[in-house]
Amino acid sequence: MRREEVEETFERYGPMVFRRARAILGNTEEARDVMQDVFMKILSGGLKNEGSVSGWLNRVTTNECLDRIRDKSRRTALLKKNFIPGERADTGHEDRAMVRAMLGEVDERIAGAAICVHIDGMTHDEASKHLGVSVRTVANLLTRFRERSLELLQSGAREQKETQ
Amino acid sequence: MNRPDAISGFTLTPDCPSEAILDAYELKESVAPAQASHIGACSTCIARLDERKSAFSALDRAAMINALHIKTAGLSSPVKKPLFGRAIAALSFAAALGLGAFILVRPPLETDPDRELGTRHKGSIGFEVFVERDGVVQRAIGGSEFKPGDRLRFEVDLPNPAHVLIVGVEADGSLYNTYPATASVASAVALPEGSDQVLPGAVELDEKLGSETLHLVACEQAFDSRSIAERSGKIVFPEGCVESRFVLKKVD
Repeated sequence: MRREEVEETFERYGPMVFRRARAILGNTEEARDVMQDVFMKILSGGLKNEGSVSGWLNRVTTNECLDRIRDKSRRTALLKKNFIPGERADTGHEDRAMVRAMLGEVDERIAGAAICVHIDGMTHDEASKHLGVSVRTVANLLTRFRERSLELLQSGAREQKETQ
Repeated sequence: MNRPDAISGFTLTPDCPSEAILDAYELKESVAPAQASHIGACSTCIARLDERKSAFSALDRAAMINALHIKTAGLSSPVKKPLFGRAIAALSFAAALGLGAFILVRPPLETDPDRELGTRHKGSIGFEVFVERDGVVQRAIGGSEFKPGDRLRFEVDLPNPAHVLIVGVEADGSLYNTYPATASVASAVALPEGSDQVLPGAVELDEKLGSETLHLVACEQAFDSRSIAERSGKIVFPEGCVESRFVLKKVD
């Protein structure tokens, strides 16, 4: 691929990919790395045009981010940072930090729904169109996300008590 | 109910579109007319779009584009793996014994014992391998399987300027120069400190199957491949140098 083509693709889709990676990871440095990996995929395999380019890029970026979040050490760090029992604030920012930490703990479908609604701010209706599932399924996935989060918070609290 | 956005703390009204709608709007894809007209008239939405652009503009885009260009374009013109047999390895080992003492001026580079497990400590040397197979380029994972004909490229992270050489050790212990790829004596290449440095050229894996290890050796001072040798599955390199390994299994 010619340098001009690389540059054009990067400048056109870069802001979107970078924005999504920042939103999911909450970290500029890691978002930058994810962006590089996403563009390696785009430039070596081409843009997929089923549906919309933005939809495809969102999925690729989300999967790359989830791979990172599933890294155990990072997840542990996030859990420690955000889930000290009794200290969790209920602001939007803190809630999103919680969502980010939990993304690595659930399967891809549940994580996808949580990202759409809790990170991207989609309505259930928008998320259902984005994910290609019914509104009811979105609601079910989000319920499972909340249940799993609660389960982990409780087991985290127990572990912390035991170590004290 | 108003809500904050995911990154910058903009307060969004219930009418403000999600980030996915802004993505579509930004790429000039189909967006519902009501949402398009809201975005056009909403100062917060315009600020959200501007914030994306300015965050992206703050990156070192030229360096990133350059790295992407090298990783993709360079892979179409690989260098065949040169031969570097046992005889040369034996000579190298003898030379290594004579070149054992290197004087360190800077603090030594930290070696990277966990690299094969996929983790790397901050400040240590980094060694990444990219593989192209059937036209698709991917970051390779140490210990995974490769096929003859796969093309490899390398990326290094150096906490200090260093002279760098990559040697491959085949299952039978024979060495070959991977970077710089040459059948004769390879001189280590002086590189500046920095992350994500993509090394020029690519190597195509030959037909010989089995486990193979690539060793990135970085030294403060100039050296060449004669000072590197294989001994009982490990490589010997000049004192004071550091090494990072990448193991690959070549299968049919």
